Amino acid sequence: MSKPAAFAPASRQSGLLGLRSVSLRFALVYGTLFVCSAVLFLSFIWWGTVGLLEHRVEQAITTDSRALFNIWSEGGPTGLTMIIDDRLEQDIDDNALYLLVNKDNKWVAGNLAEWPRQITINDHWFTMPVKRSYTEDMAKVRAYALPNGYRLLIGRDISGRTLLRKIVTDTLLWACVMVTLLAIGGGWLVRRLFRHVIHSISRTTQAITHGDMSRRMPVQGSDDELDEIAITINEMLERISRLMDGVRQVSNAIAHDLRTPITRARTQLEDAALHAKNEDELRAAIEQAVGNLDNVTSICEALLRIAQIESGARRSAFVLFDLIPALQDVCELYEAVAEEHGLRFVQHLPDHLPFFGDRAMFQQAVANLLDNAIKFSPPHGTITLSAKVLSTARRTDGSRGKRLRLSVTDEGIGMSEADMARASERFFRAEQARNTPGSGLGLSLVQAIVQLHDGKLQLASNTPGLITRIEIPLPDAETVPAQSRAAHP
Amino acid sequence: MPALPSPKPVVITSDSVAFCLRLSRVIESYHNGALPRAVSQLREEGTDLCRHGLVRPGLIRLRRAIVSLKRTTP
Ligand SMILES: Nc1ncnc2c1ncn2[C@@H]1O[C@H](COP(=O)(O)OP(=O)(O)O)[C@@H](O)[C@H]1O
Ligand SMILES: [Mg+2]
Repeated sequence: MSKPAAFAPASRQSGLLGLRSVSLRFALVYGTLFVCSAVLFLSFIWWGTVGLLEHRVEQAITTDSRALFNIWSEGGPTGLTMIIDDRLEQDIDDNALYLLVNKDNKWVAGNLAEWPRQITINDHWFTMPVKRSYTEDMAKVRAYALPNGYRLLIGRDISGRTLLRKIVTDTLLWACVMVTLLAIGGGWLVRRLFRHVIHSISRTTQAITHGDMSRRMPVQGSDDELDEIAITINEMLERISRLMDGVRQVSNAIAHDLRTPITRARTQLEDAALHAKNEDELRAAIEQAVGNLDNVTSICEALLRIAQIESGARRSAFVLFDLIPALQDVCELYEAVAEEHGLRFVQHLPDHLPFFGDRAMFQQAVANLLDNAIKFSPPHGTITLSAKVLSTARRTDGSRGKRLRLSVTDEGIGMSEADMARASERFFRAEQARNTPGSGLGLSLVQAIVQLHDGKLQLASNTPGLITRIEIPLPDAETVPAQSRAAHP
Repeated sequence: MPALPSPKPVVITSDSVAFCLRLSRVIESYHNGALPRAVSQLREEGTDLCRHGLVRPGLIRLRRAIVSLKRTTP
């Protein structure tokens, strides 16, 4: 577009008619290209046939003239006359034209009645009409000067060729017309196709701009570039709406979940201020309020932590370490807690398990899982922590690699399928969990940590109880950056 | 190619019965008239056609006769 978009509203309208329409320009470019290449191609054909024929005639005349010059230099006018007669007698093609005249322009030999008046220059190609018994034909001729004022005209009747030439030219002209029609038709088709695609994209995006986030690009299923664009756009929309949902849910949850402890603390303080009878009561109320506010702080900290982990910034702190001692440290802590709750704690761990990641964070994740298992189990249950290396798994890139599978199993209250699907949402707590302490951020943190390690978090039923499973790809010895191995003693 | 100002057609003199007869005589003069059968047949046909006004087909036959005579005569 040559004009700047100074008249933005006007450009919309003229776009339908003028060159501002991309699809029209596209179609025009297509048509022009098509016609140009066709014209080029047809001219090649023209030169290959008609051009060649003309060239052949000229060549024949030139060759003939050379032979006749030789005869002249040997036998003079008499010799040349004989040869010309001979040629005419044997001219089976019936198209040869000769005329030899003397310096007075008088006929000496040949089959033309007189010297054509229009031929005044020698050594020039002329096309002139000649009269046969019934028809009038075209002839290509050339005049040559000979010594003593003699002049020689050599030519060929080209009417046969003229006919061929007419046929070829007509055919090519018709081909041009057809090509132009095809170009117009093709251009129209291209334009329609293009417009269709653009319109479907802009319709969808417009709907989305107006707030309908549920709209998606139609996918034809033909697996072509357009489908690719549609799929990519749809994926983008999917992700945007997921993120938006996440943000909405989190902000709702924050507003709700932080309000409760803050309101409680406020009520306690107000209550104490109005009704406390002595200093001890006042102190107790303040302590309770501080506890509630601490809770608020820890929720905020947990949220920040999850956000930080999800941003992926912590990945640079990854090192290679043995997972087993790290897990044992966590287990030691929770063995005591499990015992307090009257639970059995079983561990199935290999001797060594080299792992590439963030040690403290991974311990935090396992601790959260164990905490849940203990919290949601009635007494006398068994809690199992097991770590295994699966070696037959396929990576996403198709290569075979090892995976760590770490699972925490309990025999507690378990979860329904619907709750499992939402368990890792921030602040999600199942209905049965309302009476247990917690803020619903534990599994969100686990999920963030597992994702940071390129792994997956899965929940499954244990009838009774719950299985929480973490699967993380283990590093090949070669793929671990050398410096991070060196960093860890 | 320069265009021609007033193209007045030039008459081709070889397109005539007279030329036919001349060719016929040329053929006769070979071998004093002792001609191969094919040649004499071509000559008769050609002369005949010319007499009936079909000059160009006649000429073609006569010329063919001459060419074949030339080929057989060293
Ligand atoms: N081992 C488990 N058994 C039963 N329910 C569980 C278990 N682990 C988690 N859940 C459910 O998932 C919810 C989210 O867990 P989590 O994010 O750790 O939050 P919190 O522990 O603070 O409640 C819990 O409230 C509970 O409903
Ligand atoms: Mg928890």
